Amino acid sequence: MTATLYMDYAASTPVDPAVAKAMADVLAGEAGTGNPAATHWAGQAAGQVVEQARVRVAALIGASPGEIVFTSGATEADNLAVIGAARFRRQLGRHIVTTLIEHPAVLESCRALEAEGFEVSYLPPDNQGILAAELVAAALRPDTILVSVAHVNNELGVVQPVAAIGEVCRRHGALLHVDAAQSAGRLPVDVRAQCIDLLALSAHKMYGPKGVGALFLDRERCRRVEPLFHGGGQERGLRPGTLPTHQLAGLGVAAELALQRLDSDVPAILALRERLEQGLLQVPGVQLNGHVTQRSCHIVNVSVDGVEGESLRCGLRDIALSSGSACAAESGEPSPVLRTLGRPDHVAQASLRFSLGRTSTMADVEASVAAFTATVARLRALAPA
Amino acid sequence: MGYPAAVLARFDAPPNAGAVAPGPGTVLRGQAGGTGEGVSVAFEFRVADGRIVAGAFRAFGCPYTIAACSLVAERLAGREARALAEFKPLGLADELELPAARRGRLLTIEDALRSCWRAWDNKGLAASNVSRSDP
Repeated sequence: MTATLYMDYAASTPVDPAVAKAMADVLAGEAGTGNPAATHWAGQAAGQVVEQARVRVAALIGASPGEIVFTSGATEADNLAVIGAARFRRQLGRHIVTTLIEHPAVLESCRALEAEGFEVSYLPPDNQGILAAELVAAALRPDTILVSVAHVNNELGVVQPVAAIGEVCRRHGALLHVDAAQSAGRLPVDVRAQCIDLLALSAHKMYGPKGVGALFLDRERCRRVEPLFHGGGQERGLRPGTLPTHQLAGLGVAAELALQRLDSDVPAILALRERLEQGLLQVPGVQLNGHVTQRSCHIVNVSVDGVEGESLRCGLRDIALSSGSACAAESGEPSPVLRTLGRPDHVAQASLRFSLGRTSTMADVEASVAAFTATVARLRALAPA
Repeated sequence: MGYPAAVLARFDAPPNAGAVAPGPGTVLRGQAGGTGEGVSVAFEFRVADGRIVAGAFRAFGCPYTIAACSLVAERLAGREARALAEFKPLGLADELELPAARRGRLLTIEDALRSCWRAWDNKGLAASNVSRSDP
């Protein structure tokens, strides 16, 4: 086993060299000096970098540049979308629909809104993690103003039927917010065809830098949300604060590369995932979590019977992988997502998320399968009968 | 995952894991916990002439649990059988740098040791807990 084996691309991806170069060029040049909001020559140079990034991000998701608002990442974009849209539309209704398996950025935003008097319906997916559009339709009420669903679940990798849910929302008049942190750059995303009104994405999930992301707001259906921050007019007043020019240069190049490489990345990563999945599932007592086919190319989540989860992760500590959402890993609690799918606590606790990316290799996969097989066998042999 | 080096060493290659080697005396077995509780431990001790001559363990639990079981099996070897009733695994907490939230695991280990002691106390009576191993 190698100490540098990385199988946690769903948590974060390495920065593409072209992205790093673009960022370094900005930092070293005049665009790195000026404030993008300033009107002098240095500000204009910075502003051009920002607007180029806006064009590139918009192209990745089929949007117009004017519909992109830059944020510090997908978590902030999710907060701005859910809380900002709900507060802005509170006169129209106070009911929100989401799922039990959303990322904490959405779930905690919903809980914050509940404290303000909003009502939230948390829909359960089926036992493979899929949320049927019909379930959303049945949950909508006259006062429903917002539906929030992740395109790709961050733990299971399951792909939700976003377009079908979007059509349901359009018929009803509710906005659809989609957390695309795991899907942007990994699946085709088209906000028009998929009837998406708000969409959050993050640079570091697609080979860009950490600390920068974007929120799409449909110009016709959701031109405004209530800002979370105050103190400046940047980003149409929706997200005040000086724009991080070099970070946005990185986000823009990452988005452009993701779009260019989508057709080649997806089949290559899928081939690796299929071998990884086959290797993991050939160990007796290992169960795949999430839908077998309706799943993104990059995530395999398995539960292991007969071993204790913390020891399993410790035995595999030379492989960078996750037991679920990296954002919730500190708690040590069994994954709420797997609990929702009906896994008992001790099984949910012995679950691992392997995630693959552009720089993964078949050698990484084979080494992971070998280490997993040996560790499970060793821990089971150690356990009392 | 910042486990102390002593814990990792015993987790990666735990001395005394498995079963005690065949030999003279009586093999005492005791078990406590359950997989549903997140920790299950079992011990075997070979007792000859009133002394523990060998100890072994099996464990389903976190790395701290595995390391503690290994240490307990090692520390009890050479002591009088009564140590099975008197040994306090909680005394290992500092040595293993056990976080406060994990100290309950040591009580499960203590329960398993007491189970071994009861087997000794009832030797010859509780067939399910005691087996005689002839040389």
